[in-house]
Amino acid sequence: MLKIFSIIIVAVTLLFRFEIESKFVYPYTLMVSTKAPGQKNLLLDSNSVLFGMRRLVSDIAWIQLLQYYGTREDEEEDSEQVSSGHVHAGKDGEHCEHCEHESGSALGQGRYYDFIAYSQRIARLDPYFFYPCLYSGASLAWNLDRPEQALILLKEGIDNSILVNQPEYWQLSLYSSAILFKMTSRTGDMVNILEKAVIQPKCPVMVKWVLANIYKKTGKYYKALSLFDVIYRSNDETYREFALKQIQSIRQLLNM
Amino acid sequence: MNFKSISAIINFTFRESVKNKTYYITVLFGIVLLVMSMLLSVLGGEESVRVILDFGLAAIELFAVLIIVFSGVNIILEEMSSKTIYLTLARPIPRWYYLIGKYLGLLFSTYVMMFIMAVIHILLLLYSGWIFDPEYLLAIAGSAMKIAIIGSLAMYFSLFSTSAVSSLVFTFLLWFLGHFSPEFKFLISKITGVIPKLILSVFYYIIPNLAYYNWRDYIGIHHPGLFTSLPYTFIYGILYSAVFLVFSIIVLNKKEF
Repeated sequence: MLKIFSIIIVAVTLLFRFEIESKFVYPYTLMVSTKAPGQKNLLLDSNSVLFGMRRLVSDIAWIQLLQYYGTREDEEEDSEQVSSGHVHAGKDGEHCEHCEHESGSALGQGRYYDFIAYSQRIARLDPYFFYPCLYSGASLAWNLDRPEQALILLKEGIDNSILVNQPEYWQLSLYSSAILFKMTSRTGDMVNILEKAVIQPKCPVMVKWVLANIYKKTGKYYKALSLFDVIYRSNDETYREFALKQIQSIRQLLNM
Repeated sequence: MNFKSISAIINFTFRESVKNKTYYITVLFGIVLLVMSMLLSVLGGEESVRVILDFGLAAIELFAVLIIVFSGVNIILEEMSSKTIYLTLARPIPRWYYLIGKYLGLLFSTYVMMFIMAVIHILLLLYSGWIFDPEYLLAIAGSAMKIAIIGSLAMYFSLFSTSAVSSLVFTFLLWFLGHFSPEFKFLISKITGVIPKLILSVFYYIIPNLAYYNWRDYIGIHHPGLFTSLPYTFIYGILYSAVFLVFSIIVLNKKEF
């Protein structure tokens, strides 16, 4: 009796399994079918599949990207500069990289050649992790001056967004168009688009920082002041500290 | 069917499980890990809430799996080695009452642990500025479904093989293979030989596809694929657990004490 029951229940279970196979949509791209951008984290990424924790590992990859980007590339160069004393590079204080570091306007700039690999890793682990795509696209375009790579990344994000009904994904296209305006030196059009981007709730603080610095450089001090104020009120400690310095410097310029 | 007898075994197993020091330590360690996720979230920059959410959900599932697998494998083996199983089986109750009672008692104690951890997790998330999303409950339900499946497998392997270590290895192997199913299916599609393809396809349908229950992957993305298969996967999970419980009853009935 039990054996007959077991045969029936196995048959019903298999029927359900076949039915699910025709309906189930696996939300991710398969790890075995996508080429990993770097071999360094292959073991961790593979384990994320075996444990069914791709979202968690994509979060770890995101933290690793922030740590990579937060680590200064040229520590040796910097220590030499500090020991030899600060030398102003620009004439009449027009342009000085050291001073830019002090004020934070050069924040996030550098080479960071592996930045795209780190970002693509996140996009492949969790194609719906939308925020790093925005963040990395903006960093590559405005901080690292590699807009071509930014467009590749944003296109990957746009392709991933097709499957889901996520109302925030249009921002990826917005950033892409801003980058295209940057590439064609249409700064005014780029600023117009960035102005639309910074009012979005998911906009990275870094993008606000870029726009605020553009305002400052183009002499739009009041607009810059209000945006630095927004940055100062954000949760990002790194930007907050520099935003305060910028607010103080603009107030001095405006005699406030 | 005497529900009173089964519920007595469920009650006894539940009490035994929650009184166990290992259970307490695991729950405590799980809670500590949840709180630690708050520290980790600081590194997540503007996505700190997501880090707490994912880390917590993963921790809840991982600790539940550890409890159900280790307890599921040992619960009957220990009673057999200490001969306390005679006390139950000497009574005029069918053996399947004993097995179902043990399974449900164990499952219930694991679900209690998951519930405690989920409540703490939700509180931490709300404290961090998270807005409650009903999909969170779906994510926990998905993990609970996986726990039911893997618990029945652990129990079956503990009866099927006499060694606890081999039972653990088999159960964890199926846990990994279950999550690997979508990738496994892709690899099968790439095989050209008919016989290897057939063998692997049979194997593919035997192993539980645990990727069906990763409902936490859908939080906040509004993926249309989630609800198309949800009721089927739910019934499949119950049926799959039932299949291995029936197999366990067959093995237990054949055992001579």
